[in-house]
Amino acid sequence: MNTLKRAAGFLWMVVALGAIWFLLSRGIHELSADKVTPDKKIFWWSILPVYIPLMLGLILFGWYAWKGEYDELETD
Amino acid sequence: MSTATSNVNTNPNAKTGWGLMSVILASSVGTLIEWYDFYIYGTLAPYIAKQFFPSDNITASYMAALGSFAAGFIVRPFGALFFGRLGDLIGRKYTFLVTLLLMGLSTFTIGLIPGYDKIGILAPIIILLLRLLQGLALGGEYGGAATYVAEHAPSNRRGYYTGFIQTTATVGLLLSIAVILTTKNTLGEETFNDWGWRVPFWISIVMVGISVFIRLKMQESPMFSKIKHSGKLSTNPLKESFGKRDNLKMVLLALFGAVAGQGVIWYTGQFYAMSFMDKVCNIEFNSVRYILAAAIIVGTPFFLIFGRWSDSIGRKWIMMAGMLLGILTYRPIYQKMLDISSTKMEVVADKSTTGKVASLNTAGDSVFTTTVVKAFVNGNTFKEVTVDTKKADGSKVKPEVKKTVWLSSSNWWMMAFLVFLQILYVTMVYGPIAAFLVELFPTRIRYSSMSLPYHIGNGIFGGLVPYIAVFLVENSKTSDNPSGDPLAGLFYPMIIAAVCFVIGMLYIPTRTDKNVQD
Repeated sequence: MNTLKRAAGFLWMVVALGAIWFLLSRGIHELSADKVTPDKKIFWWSILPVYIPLMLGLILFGWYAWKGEYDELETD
Repeated sequence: MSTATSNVNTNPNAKTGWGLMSVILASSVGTLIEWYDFYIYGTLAPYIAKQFFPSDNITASYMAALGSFAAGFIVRPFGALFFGRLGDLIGRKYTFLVTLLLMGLSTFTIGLIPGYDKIGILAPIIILLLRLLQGLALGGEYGGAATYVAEHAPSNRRGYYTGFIQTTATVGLLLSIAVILTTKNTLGEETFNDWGWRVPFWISIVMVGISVFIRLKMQESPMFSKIKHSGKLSTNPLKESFGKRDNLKMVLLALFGAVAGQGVIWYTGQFYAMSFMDKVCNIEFNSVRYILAAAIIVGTPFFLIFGRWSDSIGRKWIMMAGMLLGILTYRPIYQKMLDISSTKMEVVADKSTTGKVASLNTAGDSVFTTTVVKAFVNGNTFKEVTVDTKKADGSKVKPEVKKTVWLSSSNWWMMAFLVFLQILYVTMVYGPIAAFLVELFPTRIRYSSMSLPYHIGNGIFGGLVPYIAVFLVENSKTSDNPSGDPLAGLFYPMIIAAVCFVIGMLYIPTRTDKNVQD
């Protein structure tokens, strides 16, 4: 079980990095369009500063899991 | 497999009988009122927008959007940090007394502020500040109430007793709907539009007054008092909570393994369901509120049932089952909601009419109103009112179309059942979570440590469900399919719940009989 927990830690880091890449590329694309509506501006300027730090948190979670920090927790 | 919980109470400070019930009552009533205060702003948003945020003023419109956002997800975690720190430094009792007062006074004042037509741009600025104070207060309230009850409860009944606190968010929503509908029905539509919408805000001060009176009589949490007298209080709870790896890793586990998934299930089951019935199914305004109210009334006892059950089998399995059910059944449930409110079916010809009226408005524009009423073979009735305005100068305005569906009796009950199912999932993920969070963290930093993940999970991951869902539906529109996929919005809660489910299953500990006295 601990091996699985550690391996999955790597997966969470990849998932979080993928989410950051998706949010940044999509956000920049939409905000740099010729005509940006106020709704879209508010959406992306709200989503990016909030979700990117959260995804950094998921990377940290994955890192702890990969290093075996959660091994001692009894899950079964 | 190890035993999930212990049947023996290991909390020597636990209260029993009336002593415990008075602790629960005092905590729950205050928290319920805070939720009520928070929800009436959201439910009355169209009236507030009309009074304070005129659409022809771009700055005011921006403020309207930012206000509803900031309070919902940015400010709540800050409130959690600010009041969580206070709660771990000076005590639970005084901190959640302050949050209650702050919320009550902000809400009451919103009901007093003159409109944009009287004081101009100052009106939306004051409203925005008051809404931020509401969010701040809410961020500090929940962690205090949950911690306070858990620290008084017998360890073998912690899930059950904290379940009472868990009912407050849903009952607060129900109360806000009841007060608004009653005020509207009593005063009439015109008076309500004029000034009657302020009444639910004024009522808050009476409820807060009663709750403050009850809370003033409460004693400090015995566990907090004990560590205070033994000099073991944390000198810097925030640094200890989020600066030390041993605790930070548990904060991250709480967030990504439980609360994020709980947040999306919670907001999908209540707010997205309501918004879906309103805007996608076009069901009549009052019917939607009655359907939701019926589902909440039947569903609320399950917070206690699942809270109690989690004392026996463990918090983890119930929360994870709630998430899994949401992931697997949301699409069929919402598809069924669409089907039973559909207007694409056989019409009963002799019960369907079309009427056209032409008139002049005060500006001298010609207004053409077309009303189409259709009765369907499934018993539903549909009304579409199209208002086409031709300006006096000859220019045309984009027609306004308002669609309303009245469900047949059997479809109404089916819709209520489908919403109830979603509320049931809410009770599964939310019922045991207070006890789960309390058990993850030590007394000296509990208020800070549990409040932050809770408000990030609910305020950000959950609070954004309706907003991101609308964005996903809009993005699903193509030239081939201009109306898009109405179910595309469900992908967001399903993906977040799925990630959370896997993390929770892998890493969350099963045992729940932790000694929360440190």
